[in-house]
Amino acid sequence: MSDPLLSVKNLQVFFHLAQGTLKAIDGVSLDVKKGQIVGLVGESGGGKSMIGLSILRLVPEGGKIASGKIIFEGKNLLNLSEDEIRIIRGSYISMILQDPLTSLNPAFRIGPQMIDVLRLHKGYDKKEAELIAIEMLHNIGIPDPKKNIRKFPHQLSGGMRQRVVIAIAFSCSPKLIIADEPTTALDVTIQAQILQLLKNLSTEYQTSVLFITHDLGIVANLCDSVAVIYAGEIVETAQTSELFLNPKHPYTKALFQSILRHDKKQEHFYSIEGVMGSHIDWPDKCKFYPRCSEKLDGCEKTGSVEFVSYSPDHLVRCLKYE
Amino acid sequence: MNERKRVFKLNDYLLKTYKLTKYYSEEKRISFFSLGPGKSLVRAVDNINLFVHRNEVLGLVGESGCGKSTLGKTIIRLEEPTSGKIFFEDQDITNLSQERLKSHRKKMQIIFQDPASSLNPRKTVFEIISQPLKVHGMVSNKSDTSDRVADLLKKVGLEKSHMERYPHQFSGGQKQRICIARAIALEPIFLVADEVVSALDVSIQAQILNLLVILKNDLNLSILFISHDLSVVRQISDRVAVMYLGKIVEVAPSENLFSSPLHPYTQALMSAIPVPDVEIGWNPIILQGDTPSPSQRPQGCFFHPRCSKMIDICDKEDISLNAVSQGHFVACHLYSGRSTLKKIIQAQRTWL
Repeated sequence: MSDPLLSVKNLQVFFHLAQGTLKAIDGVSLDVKKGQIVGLVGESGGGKSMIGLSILRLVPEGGKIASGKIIFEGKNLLNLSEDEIRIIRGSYISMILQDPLTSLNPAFRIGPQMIDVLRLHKGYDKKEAELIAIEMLHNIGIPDPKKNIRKFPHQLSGGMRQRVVIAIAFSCSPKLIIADEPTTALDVTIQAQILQLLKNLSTEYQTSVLFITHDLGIVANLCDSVAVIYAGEIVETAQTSELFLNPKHPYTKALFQSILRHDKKQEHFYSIEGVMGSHIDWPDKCKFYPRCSEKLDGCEKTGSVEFVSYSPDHLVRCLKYE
Repeated sequence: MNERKRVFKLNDYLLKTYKLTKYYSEEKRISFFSLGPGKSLVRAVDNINLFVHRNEVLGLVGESGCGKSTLGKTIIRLEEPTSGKIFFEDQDITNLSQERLKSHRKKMQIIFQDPASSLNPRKTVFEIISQPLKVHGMVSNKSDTSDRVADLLKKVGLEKSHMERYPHQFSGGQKQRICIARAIALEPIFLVADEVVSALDVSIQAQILNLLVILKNDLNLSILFISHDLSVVRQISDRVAVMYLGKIVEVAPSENLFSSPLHPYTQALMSAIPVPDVEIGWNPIILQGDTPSPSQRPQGCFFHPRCSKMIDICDKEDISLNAVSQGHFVACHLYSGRSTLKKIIQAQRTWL
């Protein structure tokens, strides 16, 4: 099999706080193959967004990538100079964030915001860039693009704004898109529109997508493979159908049990005991065991738990399977 | 389960609205071409007839901006209705003075979406929960108050020792529990729960829902459960009302609505939810365009520009709720007039 497009290896991102060291990302490994949509799921505070930011070396102030490798098309992004990584951002890897209102500049019309990106990364002149921007808006289903390109972000609806952000992300035909909860702020009917659009564009442009979400429904219907993250660690990764039909890690199982479905009436609502809490200065051991319903005697004592391959492509990080 | 299926007696309602309407006027921008300020009306809640039975959970669903929260607030008169009537326990409370409303306020409480912003960060949990008790003179002395607060905390699954802490010392789920404790402090019989679990993670959502169900049964509460999340609404509601652009488009017993939704909007809304199951395909009905603004609603049925099943009459005539079966009401031209029954059966078949 060919090399993956993006390969994150043993990534660690630490925040040195007054209270101690917070391992926001603790040994995350992840592969995204060409043309694939990979889901990254977990609850809030689990470090999902931090992985997305780390890939582009955009870790917020106070945080540091402590170790690991991020191999993109054979190059380790962590070894690139600041100038080199700027070329990667936008042209090769671009990002779609949750709230389109904060990703777009409210003081500029959407036209210039799209055109600037094309001019910077692709070197088009203004006229060319404008034509491409209009075509792009047309492709993503914005009616009357010639008129709408002259609007300010606040004059568009939430769904339209997110379409513009997606257009900007795809405009330089990047190899990889990191989509961080791109539909969470939208209504379900609009979400359905946007998800279909993303799926179509990713097929059309052969773009890989790292889709960060908390919604397992989206994962089931959009992603080819999934990684489940808990407190900065990936606890399980597999092909989507394999993970849904055969979840192994107690956290994954608990997550599945706690989702409510509109197509089924449930008599009991299952919830995971306790809260994730913060893991400042957490020793090297499973982070989920205090909430785990299947914990073994060894969980508290054993050091860090390594990934076990349950079957090819299905990795679990749990003492039960060691 | 038997309890859920019990048939409600006619007129056995706790709350009823009659043509309840709430309009806001929006100042129009003065542009170069049209001088002078104009006003446009935002019809947030429009002619709504709704009732809530005793000890019933009525789910109210709709997308953002459809007016569901405004309806919730207007019903308990946190917003003054523009027109229409509200009956609570057979009494017309639409025009009660604030003074006389106070005794009713005890019986109706509201819980909001974001627990962090509905709790005063400078007050302890004790102060937060005891305030309504003091305002309504339900406690006589300090030890009595303390007992009551401890009791309330226990009811919502918190501990007595939490009393002296401040809101920031709690997690999101715990904060929502504090809000619930404050809401039930006055022993209300009607609760408006406005997106109470939307800000919480899935694993925490379940805890709060379980709590609401227990409280509902223990305290004989009726709940208006407002949410955009159909998966949550299905689990907790006895009946569900679907709202679009300030109007109710479909009301039905929960199981009916979810097994055979009739209104094209309800169908689109349900099909749009991706199901967390790899064995079920996902074929959402993609609605064209965006929801129109409530100040510029389309002619005829408001949904017709986005509706895939539009017929001739839809863009001309408005339509109100019609009964199609026991307790199932729908506002759609497809199900009015001749051979309605045939159409309903057909719709149910194609849905399944």
